[in-house]
Amino acid sequence: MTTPSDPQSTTRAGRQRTHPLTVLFGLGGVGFGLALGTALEGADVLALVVGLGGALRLVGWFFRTYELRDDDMVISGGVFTRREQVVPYDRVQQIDFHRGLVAQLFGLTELRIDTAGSQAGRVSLAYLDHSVAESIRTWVLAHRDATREPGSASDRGSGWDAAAVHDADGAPQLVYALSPSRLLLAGATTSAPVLLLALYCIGVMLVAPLALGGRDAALRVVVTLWLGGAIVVAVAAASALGHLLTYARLRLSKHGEDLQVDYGLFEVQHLTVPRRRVQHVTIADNPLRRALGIVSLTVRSAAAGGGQNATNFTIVALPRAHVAELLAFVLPSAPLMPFPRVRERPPSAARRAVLRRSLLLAVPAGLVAAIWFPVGVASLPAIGLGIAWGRVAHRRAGHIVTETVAIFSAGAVAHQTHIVPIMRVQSARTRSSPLQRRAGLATLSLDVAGAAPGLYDMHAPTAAELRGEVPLGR
Amino acid sequence: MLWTIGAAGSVLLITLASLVALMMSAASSAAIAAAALAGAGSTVVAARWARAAYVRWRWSAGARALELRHGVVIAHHSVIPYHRLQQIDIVRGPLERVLGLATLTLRTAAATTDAQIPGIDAAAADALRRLLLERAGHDDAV
Repeated sequence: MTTPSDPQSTTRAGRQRTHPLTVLFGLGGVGFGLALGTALEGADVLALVVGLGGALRLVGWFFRTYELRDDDMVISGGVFTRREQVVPYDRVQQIDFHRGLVAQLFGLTELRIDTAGSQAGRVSLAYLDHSVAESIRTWVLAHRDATREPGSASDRGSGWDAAAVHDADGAPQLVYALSPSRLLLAGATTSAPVLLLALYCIGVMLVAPLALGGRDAALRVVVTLWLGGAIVVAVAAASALGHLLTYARLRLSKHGEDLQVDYGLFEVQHLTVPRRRVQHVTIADNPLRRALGIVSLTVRSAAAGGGQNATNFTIVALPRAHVAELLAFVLPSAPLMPFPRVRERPPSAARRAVLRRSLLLAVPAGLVAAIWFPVGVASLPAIGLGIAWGRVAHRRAGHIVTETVAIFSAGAVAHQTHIVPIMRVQSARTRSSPLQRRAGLATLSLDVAGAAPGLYDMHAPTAAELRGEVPLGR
Repeated sequence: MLWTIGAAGSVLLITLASLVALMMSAASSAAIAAAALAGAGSTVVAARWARAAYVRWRWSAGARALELRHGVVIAHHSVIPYHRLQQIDIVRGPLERVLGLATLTLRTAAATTDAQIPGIDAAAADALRRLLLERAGHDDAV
């Protein structure tokens, strides 16, 4: 395989430093805080402290270097305690660009490279000229592919495709760009407002009968329902606005072996995940989103980052029509279209599902009935809702395990489907409470880096069989 | 054994502390007697619980994977393939050192992997560690 040409020879000629303007970052905040504190002391103290801080940052910047070698990258830093980090290209889980508002003004970018593991696996170069960051990323990705040996341990079943590497020289291929109107719709229909809406509907069912108790009671009920409705609308609006600020201009593209995601208005993010590093894909929706034909799709890598957001990215609104294409790219070895139908859990799980949800609704309904007796008794039929809820939940829950992936679905109202490449499963667990054991059920969890998807109340022998087989690769 | 002592001991300590507190506050002798009885009862329960936990704690090193099962009320059963092992730690607390025991903790790339073998013989822990390292074999990238 030919070694990809170096995009910009300056990026790898020995040790390099980050952009000199980096020294100024963070000083603004220090200066402002000190200016408030030292306003009475006089400007000379302020100048001294800012000068000292600046000198420290300057020395720190001077010692912070990176070097791009053929197989790995060396990052050094530290004034007194020297630190050197070596990142082999073929262990890279994710490469991200982060550009805050100020960084954007100066054309700068923070480059983050993640390998698997804890926080220590993250390397950050802040800040670089944007074009330099771009060329480093190109260099790392190209050299990772050039040094790969097809058929190595990490390739088994990952569908790594030598032909695809050549596409990496070309431009990224756009899969999907999210329009602002759809983003607003997606923001207004996230789980929080929809859950609130569902609670509101249950609340209406419970409270509405009280309006029968005379003119004053009816007025109180109407006012309460109006207030509740206003809260639901406000939460939806806030969520939509938050989505607009965070995920504006979301673009999803394929680039050779990698999946690329761009988004953000003030804090611009550019994430690159090699598809053979994908650990876990979750597809989620809820009734409102189903009506709009959109789902949210979360792709999780084993990137170090720490914290939930760093290790995965969510495409907040993806039209159903694009799901197949994206899955085919992320999990090339798993022919998931048409999407396989999950196998249902045993009838004893259905009984438990109905019983649990009926009890859950019986408590508030019973309270309403007891407190506002006798009018409140009219809210008791809400328990029936629990029976329907349990039945739907049971019908939705299930699993299917193919040669290459394990799929779990659950959720009566908000549907969730987890897709786990079997090659990525680290270990498997079952747990069963005494009540589950009596019903012959168990909960299965598959441990992958960063998550443990599974299914509640599975047929115990099936769970035991999968627990033994899946982590060993069938 | 260690667990029995540990569980019973901690309950006993709490009981003694609350008894002393009750005496200091000059409560009636009946209340003190009741507290002592409750303390003795819970010490026995804790000891039996620990005994059951010990009996149910089973691990086995199969051909390709390590299997662990434990849990008194909620039964846990995990399977960890050898080739997924990333790190093996042996930790020995002060009480464990006195009794010649050790706790073996296994790590895979998934943080949720449940793989701790507590209270095994220190020499056996070292032998098991070597066996696991040997069986972990070739490198497996995440």
